[in-house]
Amino acid sequence: MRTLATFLCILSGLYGLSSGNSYKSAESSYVVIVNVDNQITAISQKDLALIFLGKKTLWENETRIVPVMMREKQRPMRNFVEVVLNKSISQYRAYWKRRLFSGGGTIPKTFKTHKSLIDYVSNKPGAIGIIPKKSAPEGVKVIKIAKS
Amino acid sequence: MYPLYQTINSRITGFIILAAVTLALPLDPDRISLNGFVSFEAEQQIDAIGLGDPNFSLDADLLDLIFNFQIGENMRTVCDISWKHGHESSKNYGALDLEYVFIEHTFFDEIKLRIGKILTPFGNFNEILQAKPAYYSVDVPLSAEIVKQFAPTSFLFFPKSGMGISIQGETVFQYTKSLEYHFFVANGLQDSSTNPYEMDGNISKSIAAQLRFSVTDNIKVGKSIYIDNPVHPIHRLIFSDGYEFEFNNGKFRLLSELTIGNLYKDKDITENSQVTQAGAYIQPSFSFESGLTPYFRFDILDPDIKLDDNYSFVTTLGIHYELSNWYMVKSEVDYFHFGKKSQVPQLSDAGYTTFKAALVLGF
Repeated sequence: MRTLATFLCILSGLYGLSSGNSYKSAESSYVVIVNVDNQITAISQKDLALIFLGKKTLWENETRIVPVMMREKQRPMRNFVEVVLNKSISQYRAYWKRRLFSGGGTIPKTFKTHKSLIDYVSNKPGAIGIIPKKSAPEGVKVIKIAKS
Repeated sequence: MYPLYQTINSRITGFIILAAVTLALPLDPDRISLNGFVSFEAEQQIDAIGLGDPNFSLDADLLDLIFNFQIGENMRTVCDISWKHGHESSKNYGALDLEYVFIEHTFFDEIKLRIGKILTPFGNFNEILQAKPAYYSVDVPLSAEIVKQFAPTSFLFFPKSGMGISIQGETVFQYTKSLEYHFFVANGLQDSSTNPYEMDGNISKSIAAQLRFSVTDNIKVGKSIYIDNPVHPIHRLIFSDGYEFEFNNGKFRLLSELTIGNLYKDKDITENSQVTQAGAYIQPSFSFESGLTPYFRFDILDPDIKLDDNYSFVTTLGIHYELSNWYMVKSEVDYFHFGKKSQVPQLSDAGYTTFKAALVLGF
């Protein structure tokens, strides 16, 4: 009984440690872009997280979703990973390594330059990309992030 | 032709056929991806008596390649090939293994069907057993991958992989809460005399099931079971039961697992018709911003819980250093200890220490 009580105390302590890190609202240092043929105009923060964690892989028309982003070292990307995906960069990398090596999917493609990312999204019907807000994308559609 | 070449050739041929079939599709570089890693490992047993390597060894430990082929919008093929221990110049070329290969059809993200050679969904480590970039330590816990050398009478809690069909998926019902499931029916434990692949008698069948629940973004609990009626002269049924727990707040991580395995034997042939073995580990670690992660692990295996003092345990103290996303160095000291009635008589109530290090490059 005492062991069980101790175990429950530890568990509730860990729960307490974790509870401050659950849901944060999106910052606006980045924008979300999709191919111009994509019908969507807004995406929820939750769906955005699911897409970039490989948990949502198909658009409603059953086209494969292809998530792409700038390299995560860049501040807006770091901000996106921490706020929307609710993970530190090392957690994000570890998450995808585990998923990749267990056969669970491929890591979102990353690009060095805004231009190459925008070119890719403009040519790929299922693509969705994250770029810094200051990039002023052309040839792609910028969609809104809804909080729910 | 030498048998080794035949084995390698048949496996390479199999892979080339698979690749050729897939590549026959309209070639789109976006539909094909190649990832993998290479690791080099060093080991030195410090004490005179033990089961480690008394001579300092430097080994090209593993080359692992993962191919993802996106066949259609909701269908893909994944293939993992590894090459292990190419150590002996001009004599031994190491082992080339097809770790897993399957076709996956996504009906919804909550329901995915896989057919092929699939890793048994059990516990935390089996699905990343080979993947050194995916965990901190040089080797996975003893209780996750039983080394027969430490307990010769022990049995596998579950085989590493099986040929069969699985259904898996994940549902997210709040921002941070999700439920993953994996249900796998396979051909079960086979040996070379009963399963020459195409002449498999289809007698043995196994069922593996795993549920993982993310209580929050930081706490995950899981439960796995494995049931098998192996093709074996004495063994009739294996039932393994596993529990896993993970806390991870981005810096502090606590990983723990308990597995209990029951082996039922033919009562008409043997008196000791049921053996229960247990394995468990606990692994706290702390990740610094610099990429440095010190970790500790206590890992124990009891090959028969009805007998006293036959356990073996390992305490591990190590450092994992991630120099960049795909470049890491690991170094650890392991102390192995054996009980008074352990199955390694020369180490009865004694132990030994080894030093291990690994350099891992991923891509």
